[in-house]
Amino acid sequence: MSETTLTRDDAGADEPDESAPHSDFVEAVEAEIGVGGHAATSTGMSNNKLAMWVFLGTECLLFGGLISTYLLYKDRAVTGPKASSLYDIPFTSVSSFILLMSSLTMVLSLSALRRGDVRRNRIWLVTTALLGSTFLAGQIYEFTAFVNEGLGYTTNISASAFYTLTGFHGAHVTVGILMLLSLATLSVKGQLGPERGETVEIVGLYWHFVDVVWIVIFTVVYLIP
Amino acid sequence: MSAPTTPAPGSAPAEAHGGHEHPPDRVYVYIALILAALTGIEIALYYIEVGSAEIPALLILMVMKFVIVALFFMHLRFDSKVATRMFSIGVVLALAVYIGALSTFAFWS
Repeated sequence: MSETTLTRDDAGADEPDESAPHSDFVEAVEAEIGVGGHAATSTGMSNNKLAMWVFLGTECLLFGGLISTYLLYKDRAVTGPKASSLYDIPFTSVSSFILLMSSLTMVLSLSALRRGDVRRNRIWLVTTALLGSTFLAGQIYEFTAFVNEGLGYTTNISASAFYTLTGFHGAHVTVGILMLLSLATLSVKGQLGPERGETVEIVGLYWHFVDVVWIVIFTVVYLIP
Repeated sequence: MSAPTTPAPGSAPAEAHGGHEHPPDRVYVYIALILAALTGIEIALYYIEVGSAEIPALLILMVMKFVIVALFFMHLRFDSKVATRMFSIGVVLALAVYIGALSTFAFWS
């Protein structure tokens, strides 16, 4: 951002033209700080959104490491059952479908806010959080079933790799649900209007990323023998 | 520094999403149906005996679902190319690093 400070005098607003809603002064301010209070950037997107994309890029490395570790250790169970021998594919398929559909409700939420439909935006936000919570409940049920079958976190190296990978993903889903509920709370308070569409979009990016990571986990961990 | 990209005056709603056009809701519903169908095919492949084609088919379906979500739900198709570059760098770097790491541990043999 430029170091110059804009004043009305700088923009030649000594004689304000009341008939023009976007005077030279307003245009000069918008050129300096951007419309809606966001700093104008040379990248075509706000710094907040760019930061989220960079963060998601680094998250690929995190989950890549966890998936690779699971692949290396999945068949190295010396004691106890292997995680892969306990998978309940029909159950996990339903969970995966639920998480996939939560991406649809998330994008519908953003779309509603852009149209200025705050009520529908709130409904879709809460629906997304509920779908995410259902997925999480399914994961807790799966973990509990595995532990009852004798597969604890430290039973063998295969179990440790499995719980670490899916547990990290579950933690990301939990953070996403908290962000969604925070947005819903702001919406109830009347503080989430169309002017804050980018905030919803950034949370949406995180949520969709959690979904694409599960797309990979579901195939690589559960479906590929 | 290049000139800042500032939306036209009076375009606040467009500015809220970077001034990019996005598809109507029914397109998102169609995309979700496609994703659901691809997931159904994946699950069917798990149960149907298709021999050596199973793993490549599952990986192709996985990549298709990943790309569809990234392009349409994450709006990479409509957003600034910088976002695509940032995300692609992460994905490609992760693939390169971990394929290399798995190779080091003779995972493929």
